[in-house]
Amino acid sequence: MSLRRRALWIAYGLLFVFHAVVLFSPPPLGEFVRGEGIGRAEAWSAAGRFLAALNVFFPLIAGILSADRVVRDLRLGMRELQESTPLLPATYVLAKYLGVLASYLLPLFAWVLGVAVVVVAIGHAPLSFLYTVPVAFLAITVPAFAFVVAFSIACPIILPLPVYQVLFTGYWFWANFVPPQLFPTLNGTLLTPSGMFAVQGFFGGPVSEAIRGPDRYGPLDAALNIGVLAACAAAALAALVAFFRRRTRLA
Amino acid sequence: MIRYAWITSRRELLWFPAALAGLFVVIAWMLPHPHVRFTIARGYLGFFVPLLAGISAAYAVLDDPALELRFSTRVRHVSTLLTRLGILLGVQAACALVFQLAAAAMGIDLSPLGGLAAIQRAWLVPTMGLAATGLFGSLASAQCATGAFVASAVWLVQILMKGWILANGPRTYLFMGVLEPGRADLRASQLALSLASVALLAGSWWLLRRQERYL
Repeated sequence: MSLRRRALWIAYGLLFVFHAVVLFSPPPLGEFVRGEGIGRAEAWSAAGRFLAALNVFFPLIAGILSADRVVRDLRLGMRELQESTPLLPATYVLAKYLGVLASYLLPLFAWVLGVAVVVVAIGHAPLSFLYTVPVAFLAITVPAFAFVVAFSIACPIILPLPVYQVLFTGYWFWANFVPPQLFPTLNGTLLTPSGMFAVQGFFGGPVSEAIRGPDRYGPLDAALNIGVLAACAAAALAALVAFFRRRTRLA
Repeated sequence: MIRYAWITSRRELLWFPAALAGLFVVIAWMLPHPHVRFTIARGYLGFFVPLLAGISAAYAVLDDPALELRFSTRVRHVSTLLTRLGILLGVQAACALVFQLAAAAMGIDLSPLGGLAAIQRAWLVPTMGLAATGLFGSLASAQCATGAFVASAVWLVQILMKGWILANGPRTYLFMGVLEPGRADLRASQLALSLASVALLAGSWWLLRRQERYL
């Protein structure tokens, strides 16, 4: 049902148009320069940079829109109906999580693949771009969405929805885009969901200007980053399962 | 009318802005460097008050369990719109003013933003702009979440793409009053943004006339 939400398609549609304009318009509006294609050796880093750029706004949509998914079930009384069935809390939470996650990832994946096909078809990128982009999607986009959606379906249980959305927007900016030299932030730690670790560790992308350390992140850092994000997401979901178990027990 | 709107408003409308203002006062109090204190104060007034207003405004009208009942009464939609938005902005304004008093008591100098009126315009213009955006987004799509997303996205775009917006359309830059208070076109930008806010509010009023969309 999440996939059929009008809000999802409006928000995604606006961003698809925005990114398409940036990708396919010549400067100063966009980045498309005729004759300056992506070389065969740059296919991996270009795919990493492309997906990292999408990680600025799309997880924000996923976080804000998925925040009402579980709360809505509680508010409409759906949860009481579900509790009267043999459905286990863990099954409910996992199914809800995977369904919501898939509904936000699928349209983006289709669009990203479409862009890759167009870029290859017009000769702006080598054929290998067609498989580097899905791999970058798996390494950069999926962990960020998995992390964000897990917290967005769990946290509004204890926080009012608008409060969570305000805090989440502030968090997304603070934890991903505030340079650590300027202000204490999670940016640059293993808890950074922007995909910066994967871009640098797996795809050889440029070092972020926000991080001025002597070392760039390697594949191990990137793997650790994904592992930490996955563990945090699992912890949030486990807390949600515990909440529903307790609720069922008390009912 | 106002009393009814106040009683039926979500309680977080009151406690969360107050808690956020209190948090920023504590942070500013803990950090001794005057420049950092000024940055914290500017960050709260210029960025967090508008963001909070934008997302709260998205929920101001439609997030009401008694919406159908309310539509069946003789209450005019313009009254609904103005009372809900008025309470929300009133709470934000009260928090912003209390914060400024606390900042003054701590010796935080906000004069780099200009005189007293310029300081008020610096947070009020983006607050009105994002509140109108959030409200219009929720009414246009008939979903609170869309309005919340639109307000958040505008906020993030305006922060991350400051250079591009100032180069290509400076009058649409919401945070000019807090980030570029010395620019010559600041007043023109604030006027343009205020007019845009009024236009979005008028659009919201027009959308709310067709109440069957929200049932």
